[in-house]
Amino acid sequence: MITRRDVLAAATTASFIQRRATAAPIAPVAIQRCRTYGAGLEPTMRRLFDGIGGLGRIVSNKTVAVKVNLTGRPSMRLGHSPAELAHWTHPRVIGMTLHLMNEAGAKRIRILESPWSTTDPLEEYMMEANWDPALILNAAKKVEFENTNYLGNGKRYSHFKVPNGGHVFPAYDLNHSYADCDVFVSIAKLKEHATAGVTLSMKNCFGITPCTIYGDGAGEKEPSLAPVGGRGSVIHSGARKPSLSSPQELHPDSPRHGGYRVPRVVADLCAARPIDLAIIDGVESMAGGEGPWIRGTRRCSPGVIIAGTNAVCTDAVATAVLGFDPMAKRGVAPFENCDNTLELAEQLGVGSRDLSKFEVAGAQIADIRFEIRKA
Amino acid sequence: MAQLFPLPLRWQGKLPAGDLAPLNCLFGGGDGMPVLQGARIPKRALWPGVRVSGNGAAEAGPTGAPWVNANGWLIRVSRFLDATKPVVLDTRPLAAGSSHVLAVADAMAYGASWVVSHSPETWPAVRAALLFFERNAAWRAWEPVAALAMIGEFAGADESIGGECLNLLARRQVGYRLAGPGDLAALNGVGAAAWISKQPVPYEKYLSWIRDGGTLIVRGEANSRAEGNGRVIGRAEAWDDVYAATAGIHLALTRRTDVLRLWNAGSFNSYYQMEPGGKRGVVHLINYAGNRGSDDASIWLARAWKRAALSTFDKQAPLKTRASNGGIEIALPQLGVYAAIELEGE
Repeated sequence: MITRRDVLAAATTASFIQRRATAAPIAPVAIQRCRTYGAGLEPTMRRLFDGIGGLGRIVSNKTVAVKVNLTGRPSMRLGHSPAELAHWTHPRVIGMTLHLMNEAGAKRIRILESPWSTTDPLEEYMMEANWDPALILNAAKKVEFENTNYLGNGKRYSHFKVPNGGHVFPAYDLNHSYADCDVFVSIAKLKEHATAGVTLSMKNCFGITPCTIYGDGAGEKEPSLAPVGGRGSVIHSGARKPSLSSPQELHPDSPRHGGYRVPRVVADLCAARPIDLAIIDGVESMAGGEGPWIRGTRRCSPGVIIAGTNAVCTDAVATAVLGFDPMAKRGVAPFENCDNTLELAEQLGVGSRDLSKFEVAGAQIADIRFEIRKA
Repeated sequence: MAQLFPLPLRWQGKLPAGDLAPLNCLFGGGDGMPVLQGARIPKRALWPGVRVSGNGAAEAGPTGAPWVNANGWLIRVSRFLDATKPVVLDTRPLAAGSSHVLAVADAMAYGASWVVSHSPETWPAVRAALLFFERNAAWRAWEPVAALAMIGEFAGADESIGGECLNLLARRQVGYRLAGPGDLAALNGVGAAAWISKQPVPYEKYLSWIRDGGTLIVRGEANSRAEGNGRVIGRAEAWDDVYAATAGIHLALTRRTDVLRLWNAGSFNSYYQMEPGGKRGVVHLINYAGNRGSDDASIWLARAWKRAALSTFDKQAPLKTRASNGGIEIALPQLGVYAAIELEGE
């Protein structure tokens, strides 16, 4: 339930940064119809990247970090569907992206994710879901994996300050891999989200926060050695603080519910660690929520893949493809119970969600719209 | 003459009315059947089920999977320590409504039997379960399908760590077999072995097996080294933190060697066996949540079996398989307390 206090708190914060929205950057977004992950994926993804000016200008001679979406436990499926056909980024989309980046001259590529409550290598996590990590490792030269849910291979956490102050935290401490790259890519799944309305390239970055600091079992003073549990108590509900060694909340008296906090933290993260290339896998997906643990969820086939170099613009297009208005305010679908992450990111100057302000290449939204609430 | 496999009834006095077959002996006295004799009755047996905390909620481990009380590891250790004696679990229902059928499945899937606590309400289902396992008595002699040999004494100083480690490996659905220290024959056909005994590792005994490509997993990172075509992997985890030790062994083994994977089956343990010669196999699926069914579970088997069928106590139905990741994947119907996936190769 939204209280008057919540509204005032949101309005006060927004008033400071509203002016930045008008100057938010824009970039073209490309959409391609894509019905399967089969042989047609390669030409489709080539056209997709051509639509945003090609991968060469983005990754040539660069070290690339790729955050994929492997949310939830690998032992959990939506019905009998393998995770990649419902809530995980499909390995063929990841592999094809790497293959094309390799062609475009990427120097080195690191695949990143913060898997649920474990320090296991990502390869092991993927195998538990019945993936063969070799398909990703062999898709390009110099591919490596890192589990970013803890310190990983780094000696210390990297500090990311949120430009313009931040909504919830002024800065975040993340695994070194998010700093040790020239280009940061988010490969997300096209889905609804029970807390944030939609989960796209920006919400995918919620998972860059290490649970050793921002998790239910995080150390009180210092990060724990291993992640335990999810981010419910620190980020969703704000019931506890992150480890005291990391930056603390700007407004400890702000609302304590996920619909207020999660979109703001996501916006903060995308301002602090900007996404240089957003890719959204909507070939196969699920409706009704972000994972099989949400009641009433079901498989769906939007048959679309989207990419752009500005995450807010890209997510705005994806939101529209799903049949929603990216300019929608809280209370309007899909943001019935939460604030609009796109709006909050726009306020931080990350990008514009106004579809009239930037070009959409390839297919047009109207031709490809997939009203996920009707799926 | 071969010893009769004991199917005991816990009873005093005159036997209950009705057909009691296939029960064939009594535990605790009584008239009308021979008394159970010559069995190994492990003291650590637990009433099987999902472990429940004081507030009635299921207890869960760090991965979110529920803790279960399961006796598979104990039965396997008991049979390993003395293959000549049948193993019988003497456990009593904890509360009204406890699944007696689960107690049968938890014992008999691993080649042991449970001392049946008789009641008119539970007997028909228990009887159906007993008859099912008796029809498939050959399974008791089949070998576990394993990627890993666990080496230890599993008694004395090794009893506690070994037992809990095996229990946790089962929760991870890791196929393992047991091997005594120095028993190289027990390593035939497995690529990896973990030394969990508290005794020092007699490396010289394993050198030829390692050099032929075997992986020996031991405690202590400093012990890691290559040996011929194989290697010794020393794990940093403290071996007395059994959860960490088991996770470490599984990481060293890697999931690449998994013989079986399960989805949407957090309350299940599996036990995968194959007949000598490998033409037929069976995967026992035991649901420690008892009568609460499991929706939409799936299983992957590393071996591409040609045919599969799902057997429950009263029926069998063919299963559709699809090629997946070098093996086969099967979408399972709703499962109850127990099901067996019967497999056929060429």
